[in-house]
Amino acid sequence: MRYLSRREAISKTTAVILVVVIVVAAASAFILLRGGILPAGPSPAPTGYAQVTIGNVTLTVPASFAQFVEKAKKGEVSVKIYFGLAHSMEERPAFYSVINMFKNEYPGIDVAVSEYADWSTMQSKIIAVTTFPKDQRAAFIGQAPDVFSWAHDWIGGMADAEYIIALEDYIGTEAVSQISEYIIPVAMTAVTYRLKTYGLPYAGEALAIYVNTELVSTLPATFSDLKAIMEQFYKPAEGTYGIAGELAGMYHLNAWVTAFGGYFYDPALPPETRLAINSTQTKEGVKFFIRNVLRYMDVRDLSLVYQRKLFGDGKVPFYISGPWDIAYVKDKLGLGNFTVIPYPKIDDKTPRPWSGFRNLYISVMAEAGGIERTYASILLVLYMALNDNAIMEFVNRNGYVPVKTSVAAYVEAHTGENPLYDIIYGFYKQVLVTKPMPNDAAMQKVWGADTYFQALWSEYATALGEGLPEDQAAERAVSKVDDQLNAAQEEILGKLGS
Amino acid sequence: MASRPISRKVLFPTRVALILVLPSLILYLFFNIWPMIFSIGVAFTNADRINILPNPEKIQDLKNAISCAEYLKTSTERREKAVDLLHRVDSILGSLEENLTEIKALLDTNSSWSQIEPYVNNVMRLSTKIKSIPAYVGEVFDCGKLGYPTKIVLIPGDILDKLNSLYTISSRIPMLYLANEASELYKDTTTGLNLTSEVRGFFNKLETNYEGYLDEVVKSNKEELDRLELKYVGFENFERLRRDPRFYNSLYKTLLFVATSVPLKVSVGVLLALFYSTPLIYGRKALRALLLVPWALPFLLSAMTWKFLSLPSGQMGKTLGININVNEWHAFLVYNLFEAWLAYPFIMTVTMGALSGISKDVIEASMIDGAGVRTRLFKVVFPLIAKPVTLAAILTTGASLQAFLVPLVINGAGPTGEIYVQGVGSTVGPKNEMLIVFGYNKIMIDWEYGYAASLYIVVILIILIYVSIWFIASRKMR
Repeated sequence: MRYLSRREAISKTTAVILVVVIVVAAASAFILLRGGILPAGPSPAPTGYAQVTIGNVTLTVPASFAQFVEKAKKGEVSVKIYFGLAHSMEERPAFYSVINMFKNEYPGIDVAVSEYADWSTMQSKIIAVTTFPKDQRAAFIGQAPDVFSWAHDWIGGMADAEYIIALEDYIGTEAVSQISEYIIPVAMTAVTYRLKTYGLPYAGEALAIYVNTELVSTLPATFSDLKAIMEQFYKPAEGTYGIAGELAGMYHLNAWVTAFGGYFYDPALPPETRLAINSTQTKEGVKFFIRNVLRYMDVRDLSLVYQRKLFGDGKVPFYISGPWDIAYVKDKLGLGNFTVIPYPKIDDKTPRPWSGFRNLYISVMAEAGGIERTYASILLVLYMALNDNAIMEFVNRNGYVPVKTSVAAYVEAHTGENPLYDIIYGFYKQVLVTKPMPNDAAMQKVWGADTYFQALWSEYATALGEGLPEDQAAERAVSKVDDQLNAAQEEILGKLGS
Repeated sequence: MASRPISRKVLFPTRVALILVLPSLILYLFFNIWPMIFSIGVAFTNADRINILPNPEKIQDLKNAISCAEYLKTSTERREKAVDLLHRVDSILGSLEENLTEIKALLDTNSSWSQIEPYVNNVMRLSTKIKSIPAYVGEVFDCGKLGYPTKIVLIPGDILDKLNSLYTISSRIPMLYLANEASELYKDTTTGLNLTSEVRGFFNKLETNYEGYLDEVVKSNKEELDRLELKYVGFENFERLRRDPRFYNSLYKTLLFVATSVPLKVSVGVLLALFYSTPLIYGRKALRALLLVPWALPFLLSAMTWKFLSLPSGQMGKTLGININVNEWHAFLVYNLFEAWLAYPFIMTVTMGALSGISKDVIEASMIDGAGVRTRLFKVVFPLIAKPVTLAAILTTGASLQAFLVPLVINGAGPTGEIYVQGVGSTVGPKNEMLIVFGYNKIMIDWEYGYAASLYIVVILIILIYVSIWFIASRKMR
């Protein structure tokens, strides 16, 4: 029997180390083979770019995204995402319909709709989950939406806080550039913040003028025409007025102010000139509004409900509002008894109201749970904003104003056949002559100036209440414009500075 | 057999008591002290919507961007690539500048509109290229590959804003051209030219002052990081409160509301209780029950009803000729009426309880002694019900002091107008803004959580004074 010499024999310590190393290596190999440590999903990821077609739009996207789209179409993937819906109850069925169309086209993606009572509840959910570190968010999938729809003006604040993700980060700049060719420029700039595109717009909104065609036979082509008709109808003793419209503050005034070269806040300008609440042109626009529009209104109650009732009851020939009132006016006056026209020119000056765009946002929750959920969320956004049939569903059911040029062209081509299309096209023409509402976070502070404008309307109403005639009451309000707007500018500058 | 008394130690063992000390302290700390300290603490900070709950991912991204920029300063390889980046960016901006210059020159010379078209088309084409600049920067300064993953592009915030403005203006120019808006087109072209020149100047640093470029990136991200940090500001919020006319106005309106609404609701409640206590009214029990309806109705239903009644077009608005949207005192009157309507069932119930406790013998004796109705009421009944009614009045004062939903629902505490406080200054705001509404507006509209918290501390102090008075009064009554 041969014994190992002490030099040949391995020591006890070495043996233990060897055993540990072998066990660890075996365990690692086992885990790796089972895929426990390696990330789930396709491997290796395809590199380079490929093309996908959404509706009639062909996009050059990363190959991995294109591959995912193909698999989703064939049902070779199984992904679940959540769509947040906080719109009014009447608007919701159209979203369900479009989402079902999407699910039929991409059977590999299941979209669950999470309904919220209002926007702030939905936003709170998103904020709540983002307070957790990124790697812990997968546990909250379904508790906050991956994709949601709301107006574009929240983009800046949400992007600054990284609550939402940009399209370029996943499908590249080339695809976004290609999308831009199909959507009106004003809508694309509205959803762009610091050169990144946060979601896609699928409908536009702007204030325009509803006209009761039962009362007005010839549509006003200029402001002088409009004023002549307002003058004709303004008979407070008989309960009729020249024009109606909700009047809260800057949003409702912007068209008149821009006509005179003024503006309230424009983030596209250098910082020192961005805020111009007290510029000469802005003041001129406000004064024009008081003397030529406000004095023909029923100022006892400037709320939306009261003002639109005036129009619905046939007490005024004109009503300034957005597409959200189409359903109400349709019910009250009947389709065919009213139309919508853009603000008429004041001499050679063009009023430009602010436009708002219904945007499809992708929240950071879409990044939780793997890349396939992110891709599925992006695909849903692309489908809802680029598929003509999906957009037409919104147009026909909800009266949304399209921002995709091909759909707008279809609506224009059928204006004579469908009275709803006449109205939608009226709004579309107005949307083209607008400035998008600023989407940066500072705008939230600028809205604080509204109280100064409300004080002006109050001044006019108080003067009327004291028995002054309309023109004198208007002059009393006009005399306060300079001071009020200077004070508003000062206050907002202070807030922006802070 | 008499049961043996159980020892206190058996019922309350010392070791169990000791074990319970820690959880009870933790619970007390959690439910009481911690929220209080937190709320008070916020009043001494600059808390707002952005810095109170920042996204941890954003903070990490900013830190990584700063570290990445610092590292890049030392990288010779990236410094060389930065020159290529400059050429790429400059070719876009240079083209844009050329086209904008041409448009401006043509507009200056009143050239035919169609001559502008090719340049306008070029600007449109370049607008999408501007959006590619962050991607180019990301390719060269690829922080992810360097071990600093971040979503932040290494371009200083102000330059990024200017580039975004250039993109917006470039997209707008073709629309203005199509709409024949010469003056707007000229304005945008001039702004675009100024911006292009500034941005080109900055990107030139990539070649002439590479470290300077990255220093700007670091500075911009540090500022952003600083903005996300909650800071201690000492008594700054209280000092601001001291100078804010809206605060004094809200304090005045709150105290005035207490002074008017409390007597009104107490007198209405007491009078109704007296009226429906007399046996002369048939069916008074049923009527009394019906009078308690305001108590049972959901608040918002009552509030909406009162709102629509009191609007200028509402029945009450028309009958009384009031306009709550224009006249602050009309609105204030409606608040008082509504508050009285909400609170009288409580006062009435308390008063009726007190009245039922008065012995018939006492009333009869006073009648035999020759006391008339007035004497019986003032010398016999009122002194006997004084204590419970005073306590009810004190309790309902608390509700008036914290008036919130009444002004908010009726007309948003409006109308809005100029608020002038002698010795403090003037501002504009809702004229009937009570203290709690003021705080609410500061949170919900202005997102100034720190400032609102300081206001609420003042409200708490006022309530503490009121509670002290209540405590002293109730002791005296005992």
